[in-house]
Amino acid sequence: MSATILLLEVSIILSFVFVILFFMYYKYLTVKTEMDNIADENNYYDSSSYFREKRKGTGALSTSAFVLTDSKSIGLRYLMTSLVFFFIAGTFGVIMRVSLIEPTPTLFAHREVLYDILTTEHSILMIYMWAVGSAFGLAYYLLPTFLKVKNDRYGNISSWAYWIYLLGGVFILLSRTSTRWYYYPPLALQLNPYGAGAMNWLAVIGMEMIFIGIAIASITVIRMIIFDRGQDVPMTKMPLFAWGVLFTLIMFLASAPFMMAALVMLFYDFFNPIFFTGVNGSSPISFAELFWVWGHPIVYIAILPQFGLIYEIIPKFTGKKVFSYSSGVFALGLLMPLSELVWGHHLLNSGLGLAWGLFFTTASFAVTVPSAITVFNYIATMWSAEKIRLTVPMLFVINGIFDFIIGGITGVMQSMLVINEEVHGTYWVTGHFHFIFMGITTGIAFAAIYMIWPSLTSGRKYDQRLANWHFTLTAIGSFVMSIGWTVGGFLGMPRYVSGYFARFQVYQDIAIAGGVIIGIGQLFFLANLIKSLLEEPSTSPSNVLEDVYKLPSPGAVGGE
Amino acid sequence: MNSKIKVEALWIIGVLIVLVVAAGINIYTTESPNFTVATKETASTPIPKNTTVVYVQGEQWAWLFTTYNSTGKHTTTDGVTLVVNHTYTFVVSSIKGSHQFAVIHDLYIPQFDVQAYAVPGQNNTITFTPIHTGTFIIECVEYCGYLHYEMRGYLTVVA
Amino acid sequence: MVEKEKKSIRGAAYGIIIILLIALSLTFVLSAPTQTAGGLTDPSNLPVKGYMNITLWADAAGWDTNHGPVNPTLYIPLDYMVNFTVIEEDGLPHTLTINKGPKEDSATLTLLTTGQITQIIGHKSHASYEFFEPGVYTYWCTVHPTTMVGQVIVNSTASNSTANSSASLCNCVHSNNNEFNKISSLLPLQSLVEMAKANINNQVMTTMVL
Repeated sequence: MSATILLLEVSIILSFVFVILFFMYYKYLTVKTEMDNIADENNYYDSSSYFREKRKGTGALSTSAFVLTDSKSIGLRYLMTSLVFFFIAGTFGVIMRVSLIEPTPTLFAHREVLYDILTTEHSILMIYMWAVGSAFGLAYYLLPTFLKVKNDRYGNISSWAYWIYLLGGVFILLSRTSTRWYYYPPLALQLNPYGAGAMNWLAVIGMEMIFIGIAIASITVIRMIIFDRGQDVPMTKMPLFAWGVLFTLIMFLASAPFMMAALVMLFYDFFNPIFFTGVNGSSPISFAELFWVWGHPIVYIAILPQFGLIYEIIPKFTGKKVFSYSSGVFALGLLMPLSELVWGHHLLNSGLGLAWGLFFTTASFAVTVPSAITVFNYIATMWSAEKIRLTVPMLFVINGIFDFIIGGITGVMQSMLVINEEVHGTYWVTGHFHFIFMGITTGIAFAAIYMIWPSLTSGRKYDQRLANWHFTLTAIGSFVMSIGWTVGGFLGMPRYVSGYFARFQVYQDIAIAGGVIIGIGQLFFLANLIKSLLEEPSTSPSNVLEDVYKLPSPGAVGGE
Repeated sequence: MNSKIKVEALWIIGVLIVLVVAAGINIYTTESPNFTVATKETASTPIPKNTTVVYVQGEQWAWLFTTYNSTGKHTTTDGVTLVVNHTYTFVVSSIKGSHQFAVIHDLYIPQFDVQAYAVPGQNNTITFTPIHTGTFIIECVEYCGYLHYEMRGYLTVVA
Repeated sequence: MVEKEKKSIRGAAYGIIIILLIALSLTFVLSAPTQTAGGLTDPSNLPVKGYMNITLWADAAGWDTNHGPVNPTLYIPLDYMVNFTVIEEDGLPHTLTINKGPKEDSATLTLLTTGQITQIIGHKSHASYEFFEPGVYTYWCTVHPTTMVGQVIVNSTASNSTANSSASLCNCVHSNNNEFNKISSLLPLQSLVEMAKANINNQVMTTMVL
């Protein structure tokens, strides 16, 4: 075939594709205009919220959320995808845990890199797709009603941000990278199974896309909180969840550029390694520093919205207002600047020296103060109540506070220089943040999902028995797993290894038991979801959590 | 309202006292002569005098321990023998093994509270004195590729 | 009624989609390339510390070095580019295949195929390979896997007792406390040292090429 014929054929095919695309766009525009007209006639600002509210079957967990562009639909998109990624990354986690049952690799013998890939995918997907995704989902879903938003603007932009973010997550999955979630070069530049995996460049692109998506979404949500609030919701009376989201997103926008720039430089290094290889005066540590300027705030990004949600959930089960609104806002706000100052405690042994080490460790002690105020506020709120209704969401909250206290104490301990030298890089750290991520991030997200269940499933109740099993297994499993890691890590059990010294087997096996228990627990959630979706609707599709300004009457405390 | 503020202030003061004490202990312990933290070797932070220098090089995936004495250069892989109650300075660096790059490693001897990153293009020094005899474990605790878990060995301390 | 049924199916579909996506992504990730050719090839530019030549005669009764001992164990320093020369001895098809580990394995790298080792007696075929990871390898012929099989030991210490002849030719300094000393750094580049190990009857047992 000559080049001319090839060119001719390609141009004919391309013209057909363009004609079809244009026709589809034309049809979309027609429908959109029609919808806009109907919405206008009914005094709605945008057609999406009109259709979501007026048409049956377009709320809840359905595909229409991926077409409509109002905030609630976008929240549902984030929630649905974050749940999917939670289950994918959770399965990875359970399998990699099981592979550690023997000190020498058995399940992945001679294929140890599979363990590394699973660990990397587990961490990146859990942090960016589950922790951040579920927080965004709940923010988009709850904030419009919390803030009585009149004009739900920028739906199209939020929609684009979501698709970029989702594609980034899929790229991470497709890249099968075995770098770590911190992408340390020069290992990240080693594009073969011995280093970061042949497709690690795709993971860098995917991560950059996730960042772009989150950045756009952050700006639209900040805009919604600051400018689109209803007239009768002043900033000083905003629900604490809105404050939590606002501080989180400001923190994100302040720290993410460091990582975004570092990723671009890393990508450049694939072609021309000048920035991070350690030759000719460049230093890989400079990437690590840029990463942790972002990487430390993200651990607060994963808990601050959930801290705000706890403030919203507790009053629904106690019938009492939050103990102190102002100190709650103050503590959430104080966490924001302090968390930007402590990133160096991830690199204390990298040669920063004693002076910087003391600066970062002392700052790490200071960052405990706002967390302590917050926890005190929760306990005081529950303390002052006459009666607490203990159903699954409240149990998740109490378990979360309990886990957060353990995780917080281990965190303070490891920020001492002497102990840091002993526990850095070991499973102690893994135990520390799994206490918090399982207790606060995952637990509170599930608590909120259980509370908005009737809305998610358009008027169905969840099965109390299955939900109780879900809670019990998650709480017990995460405690067993994290405590096994914490004790083993203190004795020197290194993390991120596919094989280990035989002396650590007992701690690994305890953690495996815990991990498998967690895995089984999540199956109860999935069963609950499928079971209630197969039932007939039995209640109204509204939920108590969204009704933020009304406390339940003392007789009927709580509710789902 | 007043009692609320009082309770909260009491709580914050309590927390602050605990944290200040902890921060004080943190600073106090770093001044102990037994404690050193990994430090980048520069002109202003030279290797301490009166210590035996052990050059530790991490490569994918082995630790090489090199000492120089009157009989020449001695290198051991994934294991080193030290003398008890004698002060050693580890100069930790990363070298390119048979793979594409020199990558970041992290030398970790849990029983002696010693940890130092091996960073390409930089030497980190850490000084320590083994005070017990026996066999102890050496690990790499910064992910460095496929066989990262095999980058481990034994430290033998003899009398 | 139809509307409701459709909705409930849609709801259950969400659970099924989750399970399907888990299975799909798990299969995809677990099928990731773990090693290229059984861990025998590294696509990066390897440092070459030296070169050495090994000549093998391919005979269905076993590999030999010019009618010497059958299936000799080859000792090769790490990061040396080894130029293999295979000489056809019996006119039968042979391959030169290596894999990691002390026995034949399925994850192999074939350096010379039956087509390259033509069945013409006396024909010489060449292949080069760099052993970039220490350990025990197996070299064998896939046509005669039971008879033509030997071992390659990379970066193993040629301990002083085994070297009985040509050791004085190189000015190697062995540090005794060093299990895995890199001899390669002490040898001049482009050198070929052959050592033989003999038993009590002065029969040559093993030939080492250093």
